[in-house]
Amino acid sequence: MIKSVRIIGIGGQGVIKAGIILAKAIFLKGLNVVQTQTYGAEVRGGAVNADIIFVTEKGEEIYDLNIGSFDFFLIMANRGLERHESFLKDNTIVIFPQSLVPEIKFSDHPSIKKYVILDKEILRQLEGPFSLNMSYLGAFAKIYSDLEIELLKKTIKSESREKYLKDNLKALELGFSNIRELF
Amino acid sequence: MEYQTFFSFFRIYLSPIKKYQEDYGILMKPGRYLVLGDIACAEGAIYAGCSLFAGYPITPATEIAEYLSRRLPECNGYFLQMEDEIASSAAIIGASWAGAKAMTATSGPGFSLMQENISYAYHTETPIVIVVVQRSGPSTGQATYPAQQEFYQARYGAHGDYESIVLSPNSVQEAFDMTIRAFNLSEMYRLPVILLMDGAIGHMREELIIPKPETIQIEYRYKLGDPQTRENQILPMGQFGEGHKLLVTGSAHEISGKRNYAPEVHSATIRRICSKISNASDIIEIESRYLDDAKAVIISYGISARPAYGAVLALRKKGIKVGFIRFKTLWPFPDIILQKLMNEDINHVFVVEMNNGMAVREVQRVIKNAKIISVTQLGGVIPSMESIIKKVEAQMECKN
Repeated sequence: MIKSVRIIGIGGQGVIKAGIILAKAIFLKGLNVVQTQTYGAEVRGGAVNADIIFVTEKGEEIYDLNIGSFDFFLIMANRGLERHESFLKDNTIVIFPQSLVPEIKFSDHPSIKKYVILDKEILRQLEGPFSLNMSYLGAFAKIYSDLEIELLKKTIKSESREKYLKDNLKALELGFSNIRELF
Repeated sequence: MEYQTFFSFFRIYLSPIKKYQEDYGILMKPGRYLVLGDIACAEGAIYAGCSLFAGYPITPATEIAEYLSRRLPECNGYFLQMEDEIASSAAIIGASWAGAKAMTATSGPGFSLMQENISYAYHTETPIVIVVVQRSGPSTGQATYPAQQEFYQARYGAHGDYESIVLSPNSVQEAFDMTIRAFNLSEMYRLPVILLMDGAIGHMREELIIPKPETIQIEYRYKLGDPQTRENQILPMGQFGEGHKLLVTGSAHEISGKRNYAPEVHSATIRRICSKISNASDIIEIESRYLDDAKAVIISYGISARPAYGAVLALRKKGIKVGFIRFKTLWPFPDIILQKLMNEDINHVFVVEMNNGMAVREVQRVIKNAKIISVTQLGGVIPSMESIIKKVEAQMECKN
Protein backbone atom coordinates (compact mmCIF):
# COMPACT_ATOMS: atom_id res chain seq x y z
CA MET A 1 0.00 0.00 0.00
CA ILE A 2 1.15 3.53 -0.71
CA LYS A 3 1.60 5.85 2.28
CA SER A 4 2.44 9.51 2.13
CA VAL A 5 3.75 12.18 4.47
CA ARG A 6 3.99 15.91 3.85
CA ILE A 7 6.13 18.08 6.11
CA ILE A 8 5.30 21.78 5.91
CA GLY A 9 7.32 24.67 7.23
CA ILE A 10 9.42 27.64 6.25
CA GLY A 11 12.95 27.69 4.84
CA GLY A 12 15.51 27.29 7.60
CA GLN A 13 13.44 25.10 9.91
CA GLY A 14 14.94 21.88 8.62
CA VAL A 15 11.86 20.72 6.75
CA ILE A 16 13.82 19.06 3.96
CA LYS A 17 16.36 17.62 6.38
CA ALA A 18 13.53 16.02 8.35
CA GLY A 19 12.15 14.69 5.07
CA ILE A 20 15.47 13.16 4.11
CA ILE A 21 15.93 11.50 7.49
CA LEU A 22 12.40 10.08 7.47
CA ALA A 23 12.88 8.78 3.92
CA LYS A 24 16.23 7.21 4.78
CA ALA A 25 14.79 5.49 7.86
CA ILE A 26 12.01 3.98 5.73
CA PHE A 27 14.58 3.08 3.09
CA LEU A 28 16.55 1.15 5.74
CA LYS A 29 13.54 -1.16 6.08
CA GLY A 30 14.12 -2.19 2.46
CA LEU A 31 10.99 -0.43 1.21
CA ASN A 32 10.68 1.72 -1.89
CA VAL A 33 10.51 5.39 -1.02
CA VAL A 34 10.51 8.63 -2.98
CA GLN A 35 11.32 11.93 -1.30
CA THR A 36 10.72 15.22 -3.05
CA GLN A 37 10.54 18.82 -1.97
CA THR A 38 8.96 22.06 -3.08
CA TYR A 39 10.43 25.42 -2.26
CA GLY A 40 10.46 28.92 -3.63
CA ALA A 41 13.38 31.02 -4.76
CA GLU A 42 14.16 32.21 -1.23
CA VAL A 43 16.91 30.71 0.86
CA ARG A 44 15.20 31.39 4.16
CA GLY A 45 11.72 32.29 5.15
CA GLY A 46 9.81 30.98 2.15
CA ALA A 47 7.19 28.27 2.28
CA VAL A 48 8.74 24.81 1.99
CA ASN A 49 7.35 21.35 1.98
CA ALA A 50 8.98 17.93 1.84
CA ASP A 51 6.97 14.96 0.62
CA ILE A 52 7.70 11.34 1.36
CA ILE A 53 5.85 8.66 -0.54
CA PHE A 54 6.55 5.08 0.46
CA VAL A 55 5.18 1.57 0.18
CA THR A 56 4.32 -0.73 3.05
CA GLU A 57 5.30 -3.99 1.32
CA LYS A 58 8.66 -4.89 -0.17
CA GLY A 59 8.65 -4.94 -3.96
CA GLU A 60 5.75 -2.52 -4.38
CA GLU A 61 6.43 0.26 -6.87
CA ILE A 62 5.64 3.98 -6.75
CA TYR A 63 4.21 5.28 -10.01
CA ASP A 64 2.16 8.27 -8.97
CA LEU A 65 4.34 11.13 -7.78
CA ASN A 66 1.60 13.75 -7.84
CA ILE A 67 -0.73 12.19 -5.34
CA GLY A 68 -3.90 14.09 -4.59
CA SER A 69 -3.85 13.67 -0.81
CA PHE A 70 -1.58 12.72 2.05
CA ASP A 71 -1.94 10.32 4.97
CA PHE A 72 0.15 12.45 7.31
CA PHE A 73 0.81 16.15 7.65
CA LEU A 74 3.58 17.35 9.91
CA ILE A 75 3.08 21.09 10.22
CA MET A 76 5.94 23.21 11.48
CA ALA A 77 4.70 26.65 10.38
CA ASN A 78 1.57 28.38 9.20
CA ARG A 79 2.87 30.07 6.10
CA GLY A 80 1.13 28.96 2.93
CA LEU A 81 -0.87 26.39 4.82
CA GLU A 82 -4.07 27.13 2.92
CA ARG A 83 -2.34 25.82 -0.20
CA HIS A 84 -2.24 22.37 1.33
CA GLU A 85 -5.85 22.13 2.49
CA SER A 86 -6.97 20.42 -0.69
CA PHE A 87 -4.53 17.58 0.06
CA LEU A 88 -6.45 16.51 3.16
CA LYS A 89 -8.61 13.40 3.02
CA ASP A 90 -10.62 11.31 5.44
CA ASN A 91 -8.46 10.05 8.28
CA THR A 92 -5.50 12.21 7.38
CA ILE A 93 -3.41 12.56 10.50
CA VAL A 94 -2.30 16.13 11.12
CA ILE A 95 0.38 16.92 13.67
CA PHE A 96 0.84 20.56 14.54
CA PRO A 97 2.71 22.39 17.23
CA GLN A 98 1.07 23.56 20.41
CA SER A 99 2.33 27.09 19.86
CA LEU A 100 0.48 27.41 16.56
CA VAL A 101 -2.85 25.86 17.42
CA PRO A 102 -4.81 29.08 17.66
CA GLU A 103 -3.64 30.18 14.24
CA ILE A 104 -4.38 27.01 12.40
CA LYS A 105 -7.60 26.91 10.44
CA PHE A 106 -6.60 23.62 9.00
CA SER A 107 -9.05 21.76 11.15
CA ASP A 108 -12.42 22.25 9.50
CA HIS A 109 -12.16 19.10 7.45
CA PRO A 110 -14.72 16.73 8.98
CA SER A 111 -12.76 13.59 9.67
CA ILE A 112 -9.10 14.36 10.02
CA LYS A 113 -7.30 13.21 13.15
CA LYS A 114 -5.51 15.99 14.95
CA TYR A 115 -2.50 15.68 17.17
CA VAL A 116 -0.56 18.38 18.88
CA ILE A 117 3.14 18.23 19.60
CA LEU A 118 4.14 20.03 22.78
CA ASP A 119 6.84 22.09 21.12
CA LYS A 120 7.20 24.60 23.95
CA GLU A 121 7.90 21.81 26.39
CA ILE A 122 10.35 20.19 23.98
CA LEU A 123 12.17 23.45 23.29
CA ARG A 124 12.54 24.04 27.00
CA GLN A 125 14.52 20.82 27.30
CA LEU A 126 16.69 21.26 24.22
CA GLU A 127 19.89 23.24 24.03
CA GLY A 128 18.78 25.17 20.96
CA PRO A 129 15.90 25.39 18.50
CA PHE A 130 17.78 23.71 15.64
CA SER A 131 16.74 20.18 16.50
CA LEU A 132 13.01 20.83 16.78
CA ASN A 133 12.42 19.26 13.36
CA MET A 134 13.59 15.92 14.74
CA SER A 135 10.89 15.96 17.39
CA TYR A 136 8.28 15.83 14.62
CA LEU A 137 9.84 12.60 13.42
CA GLY A 138 9.63 11.23 16.97
CA ALA A 139 5.97 12.20 17.05
CA PHE A 140 5.42 10.55 13.69
CA ALA A 141 7.05 7.34 14.91
CA LYS A 142 4.74 7.35 17.93
CA ILE A 143 1.66 7.47 15.69
CA TYR A 144 2.94 5.32 12.83
CA SER A 145 4.17 2.33 14.78
CA ASP A 146 5.38 0.44 11.68
CA LEU A 147 8.42 2.70 11.67
CA GLU A 148 10.73 1.75 14.50
CA ILE A 149 12.23 4.71 16.31
CA GLU A 150 15.55 2.84 16.31
CA LEU A 151 15.72 3.24 12.52
CA LEU A 152 15.24 6.98 12.91
CA LYS A 153 17.98 7.08 15.53
CA LYS A 154 20.32 5.16 13.26
CA THR A 155 19.61 7.56 10.41
CA ILE A 156 20.03 10.64 12.57
CA LYS A 157 23.40 9.31 13.72
CA SER A 158 24.57 8.96 10.13
CA GLU A 159 23.06 12.22 8.88
CA SER A 160 23.68 14.69 11.71
CA ARG A 161 26.55 17.02 12.22
CA GLU A 162 28.50 16.18 15.34
CA LYS A 163 27.52 19.30 17.27
CA TYR A 164 23.78 18.71 16.77
CA LEU A 165 23.76 14.95 17.15
CA LYS A 166 23.02 14.83 20.87
CA ASP A 167 20.25 17.40 20.65
CA ASN A 168 18.79 15.74 17.58
CA LEU A 169 18.50 12.39 19.33
CA LYS A 170 17.05 14.05 22.40
CA ALA A 171 14.51 15.93 20.29
CA LEU A 172 13.48 12.66 18.65
CA GLU A 173 12.81 11.08 22.04
CA LEU A 174 11.01 14.17 23.30
CA GLY A 175 8.79 14.26 20.23
CA PHE A 176 7.94 10.62 20.78
CA SER A 177 6.74 11.29 24.30
CA ASN A 178 5.26 14.78 23.91
CA ILE A 179 2.38 14.27 21.54
CA ARG A 180 -1.30 14.46 22.43
CA GLU A 181 -4.43 13.74 20.49
CA LEU A 182 -6.64 16.80 20.08
CA PHE A 183 -10.38 16.30 20.30
CA MET B 1 59.20 23.02 -26.77
CA GLU B 2 57.23 25.19 -24.44
CA TYR B 3 54.06 24.13 -26.17
CA GLN B 4 55.03 20.51 -25.72
CA THR B 5 55.44 20.98 -22.00
CA PHE B 6 52.20 22.89 -21.75
CA PHE B 7 50.21 20.23 -23.52
CA SER B 8 51.91 17.32 -21.78
CA PHE B 9 50.38 18.70 -18.62
CA PHE B 10 46.94 18.11 -20.04
CA ARG B 11 47.89 14.75 -21.44
CA ILE B 12 48.95 13.50 -18.06
CA TYR B 13 46.31 15.09 -15.92
CA LEU B 14 43.24 15.14 -18.09
CA SER B 15 43.24 11.55 -19.22
CA PRO B 16 40.04 9.71 -18.34
CA ILE B 17 39.94 8.08 -14.94
CA LYS B 18 40.72 4.59 -16.16
CA LYS B 19 42.03 2.89 -13.12
CA TYR B 20 38.82 3.12 -11.17
CA GLN B 21 38.11 -0.54 -11.56
CA GLU B 22 41.00 -1.51 -9.32
CA ASP B 23 40.42 1.32 -6.91
CA TYR B 24 37.17 0.95 -5.03
CA GLY B 25 38.40 3.56 -2.60
CA ILE B 26 37.51 6.49 -4.82
CA LEU B 27 34.12 5.18 -5.86
CA MET B 28 30.81 4.88 -4.13
CA LYS B 29 30.88 1.22 -3.17
CA PRO B 30 28.45 -1.15 -4.87
CA GLY B 31 25.26 -1.25 -2.86
CA ARG B 32 21.87 0.31 -2.28
CA TYR B 33 21.62 4.05 -1.63
CA LEU B 34 18.94 6.70 -1.23
CA VAL B 35 20.26 9.66 -3.18
CA LEU B 36 19.19 12.62 -5.29
CA GLY B 37 18.96 12.07 -9.04
CA ASP B 38 21.60 14.77 -9.45
CA ILE B 39 24.01 12.83 -7.23
CA ALA B 40 23.28 9.61 -9.10
CA CYS B 41 24.12 11.43 -12.33
CA ALA B 42 27.37 12.82 -10.87
CA GLU B 43 28.41 9.43 -9.53
CA GLY B 44 27.58 7.88 -12.91
CA ALA B 45 29.92 10.40 -14.51
CA ILE B 46 32.74 9.31 -12.21
CA TYR B 47 32.06 5.65 -13.02
CA ALA B 48 32.17 6.53 -16.72
CA GLY B 49 35.63 8.02 -16.26
CA CYS B 50 34.75 11.73 -16.35
CA SER B 51 37.91 13.60 -15.46
CA LEU B 52 36.76 17.18 -15.89
CA PHE B 53 33.59 19.03 -15.05
CA ALA B 54 33.20 22.69 -15.96
CA GLY B 55 29.98 24.43 -15.10
CA TYR B 56 27.99 27.26 -13.67
CA PRO B 57 25.41 26.60 -10.96
CA ILE B 58 21.72 26.66 -11.81
CA THR B 59 18.69 25.15 -10.15
CA PRO B 60 17.99 22.21 -10.44
CA ALA B 61 21.40 21.10 -11.74
CA THR B 62 23.53 22.74 -9.04
CA GLU B 63 23.84 19.60 -6.95
CA ILE B 64 25.72 17.88 -9.77
CA ALA B 65 28.37 20.64 -9.76
CA GLU B 66 28.42 20.85 -5.98
CA TYR B 67 28.93 17.12 -5.59
CA LEU B 68 31.55 16.87 -8.33
CA SER B 69 33.48 19.82 -6.90
CA ARG B 70 34.22 17.53 -3.98
CA ARG B 71 34.31 14.16 -5.70
CA LEU B 72 36.37 14.88 -8.82
CA PRO B 73 39.48 16.07 -6.96
CA GLU B 74 39.21 12.93 -4.82
CA CYS B 75 39.28 10.91 -8.04
CA ASN B 76 42.22 12.82 -9.54
CA GLY B 77 39.85 14.73 -11.79
CA TYR B 78 39.27 18.46 -12.20
CA PHE B 79 36.36 20.69 -11.30
CA LEU B 80 36.15 24.13 -12.88
CA GLN B 81 33.70 26.75 -11.67
CA MET B 82 33.27 28.92 -14.78
CA GLU B 83 32.02 32.46 -15.13
CA ASP B 84 29.00 31.42 -17.19
CA GLU B 85 27.56 28.66 -19.32
CA ILE B 86 29.23 29.86 -22.52
CA ALA B 87 32.62 29.43 -20.91
CA SER B 88 31.56 26.13 -19.36
CA SER B 89 30.72 24.62 -22.72
CA ALA B 90 33.93 25.97 -24.22
CA ALA B 91 36.00 24.53 -21.37
CA ILE B 92 34.66 21.01 -21.77
CA ILE B 93 35.27 21.10 -25.52
CA GLY B 94 38.89 22.14 -24.89
CA ALA B 95 39.30 19.51 -22.19
CA SER B 96 37.96 16.84 -24.51
CA TRP B 97 40.58 17.73 -27.13
CA ALA B 98 43.19 17.46 -24.40
CA GLY B 99 42.05 13.88 -23.78
CA ALA B 100 39.51 14.25 -20.97
CA LYS B 101 36.10 12.77 -20.73
CA ALA B 102 34.42 16.06 -19.96
CA MET B 103 30.96 17.09 -18.87
CA THR B 104 28.85 20.05 -17.86
CA ALA B 105 25.43 20.28 -16.24
CA THR B 106 22.87 23.03 -16.62
CA SER B 107 19.19 23.80 -17.03
CA GLY B 108 17.10 25.54 -19.72
CA PRO B 109 18.52 29.10 -19.55
CA GLY B 110 22.12 27.89 -19.33
CA PHE B 111 21.48 25.40 -22.12
CA SER B 112 20.41 28.31 -24.35
CA LEU B 113 23.72 30.05 -23.69
CA MET B 114 25.67 26.91 -24.55
CA GLN B 115 24.08 26.41 -27.95
CA GLU B 116 26.70 28.21 -30.01
CA ASN B 117 29.48 26.07 -28.61
CA ILE B 118 27.39 22.93 -28.88
CA SER B 119 27.14 23.62 -32.60
CA TYR B 120 30.93 23.95 -32.64
CA ALA B 121 31.19 20.59 -30.86
CA TYR B 122 28.97 18.94 -33.48
CA HIS B 123 31.07 20.29 -36.33
CA THR B 124 34.39 19.47 -34.69
CA GLU B 125 33.03 16.08 -33.60
CA THR B 126 34.02 16.61 -30.01
CA PRO B 127 32.87 14.01 -27.49
CA ILE B 128 31.29 15.83 -24.54
CA VAL B 129 28.37 15.18 -22.24
CA ILE B 130 25.86 17.91 -21.47
CA VAL B 131 23.44 17.19 -18.68
CA VAL B 132 20.31 19.32 -18.85
CA VAL B 133 18.13 19.14 -15.76
CA GLN B 134 14.94 20.69 -17.07
CA ARG B 135 12.97 23.28 -15.14
CA SER B 136 9.78 25.11 -15.91
CA GLY B 137 10.26 27.99 -18.38
CA PRO B 138 10.24 29.99 -20.58
CA SER B 139 12.92 32.27 -19.19
CA THR B 140 13.24 32.07 -15.40
CA GLY B 141 9.66 30.73 -15.31
CA GLN B 142 9.19 28.53 -12.27
CA ALA B 143 12.86 27.96 -11.61
CA THR B 144 12.41 25.47 -8.79
CA TYR B 145 9.67 23.45 -10.49
CA PRO B 146 10.10 20.66 -13.04
CA ALA B 147 9.07 20.51 -16.71
CA GLN B 148 9.95 18.78 -20.00
CA GLN B 149 10.21 21.81 -22.22
CA GLU B 150 13.66 21.28 -23.76
CA PHE B 151 12.54 18.39 -25.97
CA TYR B 152 13.14 20.47 -29.09
CA GLN B 153 15.95 22.65 -27.77
CA ALA B 154 17.97 19.48 -27.22
CA ARG B 155 17.44 18.57 -30.88
CA TYR B 156 17.32 21.88 -32.73
CA GLY B 157 18.75 24.41 -30.26
CA ALA B 158 22.10 24.87 -31.97
CA HIS B 159 22.57 26.32 -35.43
CA GLY B 160 23.50 24.38 -38.54
CA ASP B 161 22.92 20.83 -39.70
CA TYR B 162 23.47 18.00 -37.27
CA GLU B 163 21.86 14.99 -35.63
CA SER B 164 21.59 14.73 -31.87
CA ILE B 165 21.78 11.98 -29.32
CA VAL B 166 19.46 12.80 -26.42
CA LEU B 167 18.72 10.41 -23.56
CA SER B 168 15.83 10.65 -21.12
CA PRO B 169 16.02 8.91 -17.72
CA ASN B 170 12.86 8.30 -15.68
CA SER B 171 14.31 7.38 -12.30
CA VAL B 172 17.28 8.05 -10.06
CA GLN B 173 18.68 4.68 -11.12
CA GLU B 174 18.48 5.64 -14.77
CA ALA B 175 20.12 8.99 -14.02
CA PHE B 176 23.16 6.92 -13.03
CA ASP B 177 22.91 4.35 -15.81
CA MET B 178 22.20 6.84 -18.57
CA THR B 179 25.02 9.18 -17.59
CA ILE B 180 27.39 6.27 -18.16
CA ARG B 181 25.62 5.51 -21.44
CA ALA B 182 25.87 9.17 -22.45
CA PHE B 183 29.64 9.07 -21.99
CA ASN B 184 29.88 5.76 -23.83
CA LEU B 185 27.86 6.98 -26.81
CA SER B 186 29.75 10.23 -26.93
CA GLU B 187 33.09 8.42 -26.97
CA MET B 188 31.92 5.81 -29.47
CA TYR B 189 30.39 8.27 -31.91
CA ARG B 190 32.76 11.15 -31.22
CA LEU B 191 29.90 13.58 -30.72
CA PRO B 192 28.20 15.59 -27.98
CA VAL B 193 25.51 13.66 -26.10
CA ILE B 194 22.75 15.35 -24.15
CA LEU B 195 21.28 13.78 -21.05
CA LEU B 196 17.88 15.42 -20.80
CA MET B 197 16.85 14.87 -17.21
CA ASP B 198 13.76 16.22 -15.47
CA GLY B 199 14.13 18.60 -12.55
CA ALA B 200 11.79 16.24 -10.73
CA ILE B 201 14.36 13.44 -11.03
CA GLY B 202 17.32 15.66 -10.26
CA HIS B 203 15.66 16.77 -7.04
CA MET B 204 14.14 13.46 -6.03
CA ARG B 205 15.63 11.01 -3.58
CA GLU B 206 15.10 7.42 -4.52
CA GLU B 207 16.82 4.07 -4.53
CA LEU B 208 20.07 3.82 -6.46
CA ILE B 209 21.72 0.44 -6.80
CA ILE B 210 25.38 0.75 -7.72
CA PRO B 211 26.54 -2.41 -9.45
CA LYS B 212 30.01 -3.85 -9.27
CA PRO B 213 32.32 -1.70 -11.43
CA GLU B 214 33.50 -4.69 -13.45
CA THR B 215 29.93 -5.24 -14.68
CA ILE B 216 29.76 -1.74 -16.16
CA GLN B 217 30.87 -1.44 -19.77
CA ILE B 218 32.98 1.67 -20.34
CA GLU B 219 33.88 2.89 -23.83
CA TYR B 220 36.87 4.98 -24.88
CA ARG B 221 37.29 7.04 -28.00
CA TYR B 222 39.01 5.87 -31.13
CA LYS B 223 42.28 7.79 -31.19
CA LEU B 224 44.78 8.60 -33.90
CA GLY B 225 47.17 5.69 -34.11
CA ASP B 226 44.70 3.13 -32.69
CA PRO B 227 44.04 0.09 -34.87
CA GLN B 228 40.86 0.88 -36.77
CA THR B 229 38.04 -0.87 -35.03
CA ARG B 230 35.14 1.48 -35.56
CA GLU B 231 33.09 2.07 -38.66
CA ASN B 232 34.68 4.24 -41.33
CA GLN B 233 32.53 7.29 -40.75
CA ILE B 234 33.80 7.64 -37.17
CA LEU B 235 37.18 9.28 -37.46
CA PRO B 236 40.04 8.75 -35.04
CA MET B 237 40.54 11.74 -32.76
CA GLY B 238 43.83 13.49 -32.23
CA GLN B 239 44.83 14.80 -28.85
CA PHE B 240 46.81 17.85 -27.90
CA GLY B 241 50.07 16.95 -26.24
CA GLU B 242 50.57 13.72 -28.11
CA GLY B 243 52.74 15.13 -30.86
CA HIS B 244 50.08 15.61 -33.53
CA LYS B 245 49.74 18.84 -35.43
CA LEU B 246 46.13 19.51 -34.70
CA LEU B 247 43.83 22.10 -36.18
CA VAL B 248 40.40 22.16 -34.62
CA THR B 249 38.09 24.51 -36.43
CA GLY B 250 34.41 25.21 -36.56
CA SER B 251 34.81 26.37 -40.15
CA ALA B 252 34.34 23.96 -43.06
CA HIS B 253 37.18 21.46 -43.01
CA GLU B 254 38.52 18.30 -44.56
CA ILE B 255 38.80 15.02 -42.67
CA SER B 256 42.31 16.07 -41.65
CA GLY B 257 40.94 19.21 -40.01
CA LYS B 258 42.38 21.54 -42.64
CA ARG B 259 40.10 24.44 -43.64
CA ASN B 260 38.34 23.90 -46.93
CA TYR B 261 35.24 25.78 -48.08
CA ALA B 262 34.68 23.71 -51.21
CA PRO B 263 30.99 22.80 -51.57
CA GLU B 264 31.70 19.11 -52.02
CA VAL B 265 34.00 18.98 -48.99
CA HIS B 266 31.57 20.65 -46.62
CA SER B 267 28.56 18.73 -47.85
CA ALA B 268 30.49 15.47 -47.43
CA THR B 269 31.48 16.46 -43.88
CA ILE B 270 27.93 17.32 -42.85
CA ARG B 271 26.48 14.18 -44.42
CA ARG B 272 29.12 12.02 -42.77
CA ILE B 273 28.57 13.56 -39.32
CA CYS B 274 24.80 13.17 -39.62
CA SER B 275 25.06 9.63 -40.95
CA LYS B 276 27.06 8.56 -37.90
CA ILE B 277 23.82 8.84 -35.97
CA SER B 278 21.17 8.21 -38.58
CA ASN B 279 22.82 4.94 -39.65
CA ALA B 280 23.50 3.70 -36.14
CA SER B 281 21.44 0.84 -34.80
CA ASP B 282 22.60 0.79 -31.20
CA ILE B 283 21.58 4.26 -30.03
CA ILE B 284 17.80 4.08 -29.79
CA GLU B 285 16.35 2.44 -26.68
CA ILE B 286 12.63 2.12 -26.20
CA GLU B 287 10.55 0.40 -23.54
CA SER B 288 7.27 -1.19 -24.57
CA ARG B 289 4.73 -3.19 -22.60
CA TYR B 290 1.28 -4.75 -23.10
CA LEU B 291 1.16 -3.97 -26.81
CA ASP B 292 -0.01 -7.40 -28.01
CA ASP B 293 -3.69 -6.93 -27.25
CA ALA B 294 -3.69 -3.13 -26.98
CA LYS B 295 -6.51 -1.03 -28.40
CA ALA B 296 -4.83 2.15 -27.23
CA VAL B 297 -1.32 3.07 -26.23
CA ILE B 298 0.12 5.64 -23.86
CA ILE B 299 3.46 7.07 -24.98
CA SER B 300 5.62 9.05 -22.58
CA TYR B 301 9.20 9.72 -21.46
CA GLY B 302 11.14 10.88 -18.45
CA ILE B 303 9.30 11.47 -15.21
CA SER B 304 5.86 11.64 -16.89
CA ALA B 305 6.32 8.05 -17.98
CA ARG B 306 5.97 6.92 -14.37
CA PRO B 307 2.39 8.05 -13.75
CA ALA B 308 1.71 7.08 -17.38
CA TYR B 309 2.76 3.49 -16.68
CA GLY B 310 0.81 3.49 -13.42
CA ALA B 311 -2.22 4.62 -15.43
CA VAL B 312 -1.71 1.78 -17.91
CA LEU B 313 -1.72 -0.76 -15.08
CA ALA B 314 -4.80 0.80 -13.48
CA LEU B 315 -6.68 0.95 -16.80
CA ARG B 316 -5.89 -2.67 -17.58
CA LYS B 317 -7.31 -3.64 -14.19
CA LYS B 318 -10.51 -1.98 -15.30
CA GLY B 319 -10.47 -4.06 -18.48
CA ILE B 320 -9.36 -1.30 -20.83
CA LYS B 321 -6.62 -2.70 -23.03
CA VAL B 322 -3.95 -0.06 -23.03
CA GLY B 323 -0.33 -0.54 -24.01
CA PHE B 324 2.71 1.45 -22.96
CA ILE B 325 5.68 2.90 -24.81
CA ARG B 326 8.51 4.90 -23.25
CA PHE B 327 11.23 6.70 -25.14
CA LYS B 328 14.52 6.18 -23.34
CA THR B 329 16.21 7.89 -26.27
CA LEU B 330 14.41 11.04 -27.40
CA TRP B 331 16.71 11.75 -30.34
CA PRO B 332 17.27 10.26 -32.81
CA PHE B 333 13.50 9.87 -32.78
CA PRO B 334 12.54 6.19 -33.07
CA ASP B 335 10.48 6.55 -36.27
CA ILE B 336 10.83 3.01 -37.59
CA ILE B 337 10.66 1.24 -34.24
CA LEU B 338 7.54 3.17 -33.32
CA GLN B 339 5.84 2.28 -36.59
CA LYS B 340 6.69 -1.39 -36.08
CA LEU B 341 5.31 -1.38 -32.53
CA MET B 342 1.91 -0.15 -33.66
CA ASN B 343 -0.48 -3.03 -34.32
CA GLU B 344 -3.57 -2.56 -36.45
CA ASP B 345 -5.95 -2.65 -33.49
CA ILE B 346 -4.47 0.42 -31.86
CA ASN B 347 -6.79 3.28 -32.65
CA HIS B 348 -5.90 5.76 -29.89
CA VAL B 349 -2.44 7.04 -29.02
CA PHE B 350 -1.99 9.24 -25.96
CA VAL B 351 1.22 11.23 -25.59
CA VAL B 352 1.84 12.32 -22.00
CA GLU B 353 4.41 15.05 -21.37
CA MET B 354 5.10 18.08 -19.19
CA ASN B 355 4.96 20.78 -21.85
CA ASN B 356 2.42 22.23 -24.24
CA GLY B 357 2.76 19.31 -26.65
CA MET B 358 6.18 18.63 -28.18
CA ALA B 359 6.86 14.92 -28.60
CA VAL B 360 3.27 14.60 -29.76
CA ARG B 361 4.24 16.43 -32.96
CA GLU B 362 6.83 13.78 -33.73
CA VAL B 363 4.35 11.03 -32.94
CA GLN B 364 1.86 12.68 -35.32
CA ARG B 365 4.54 12.70 -37.98
CA VAL B 366 5.25 8.99 -37.56
CA ILE B 367 1.87 7.41 -36.75
CA LYS B 368 -0.77 8.00 -39.39
CA ASN B 369 -3.49 5.43 -38.73
CA ALA B 370 -4.57 6.21 -35.18
CA LYS B 371 -6.11 9.13 -33.35
CA ILE B 372 -3.37 10.95 -31.51
CA ILE B 373 -4.27 12.75 -28.29
CA SER B 374 -1.89 15.10 -26.55
CA VAL B 375 -2.02 14.87 -22.75
CA THR B 376 -0.10 17.84 -21.47
CA GLN B 377 0.74 19.11 -18.02
CA LEU B 378 2.09 22.56 -17.37
CA GLY B 379 2.69 24.66 -14.28
CA GLY B 380 5.67 22.76 -12.91
CA VAL B 381 3.58 19.80 -11.82
CA ILE B 382 4.06 16.12 -12.62
CA PRO B 383 0.88 14.73 -14.22
CA SER B 384 -1.10 12.59 -11.82
CA MET B 385 -2.17 9.05 -12.62
CA GLU B 386 -5.76 10.09 -12.11
CA SER B 387 -5.58 12.88 -14.70
CA ILE B 388 -4.14 10.50 -17.29
CA ILE B 389 -6.73 7.81 -16.54
CA LYS B 390 -9.56 10.34 -16.88
CA LYS B 391 -8.27 11.56 -20.22
CA VAL B 392 -7.98 8.03 -21.60
CA GLU B 393 -11.40 7.00 -20.33
CA ALA B 394 -13.04 10.12 -21.73
CA GLN B 395 -11.54 9.49 -25.15
CA MET B 396 -12.32 5.82 -25.25
CA GLU B 397 -15.88 6.41 -24.07
CA CYS B 398 -15.90 3.69 -21.49
CA LYS B 399 -16.15 5.53 -18.25
CA ASN B 400 -16.75 3.25 -15.29
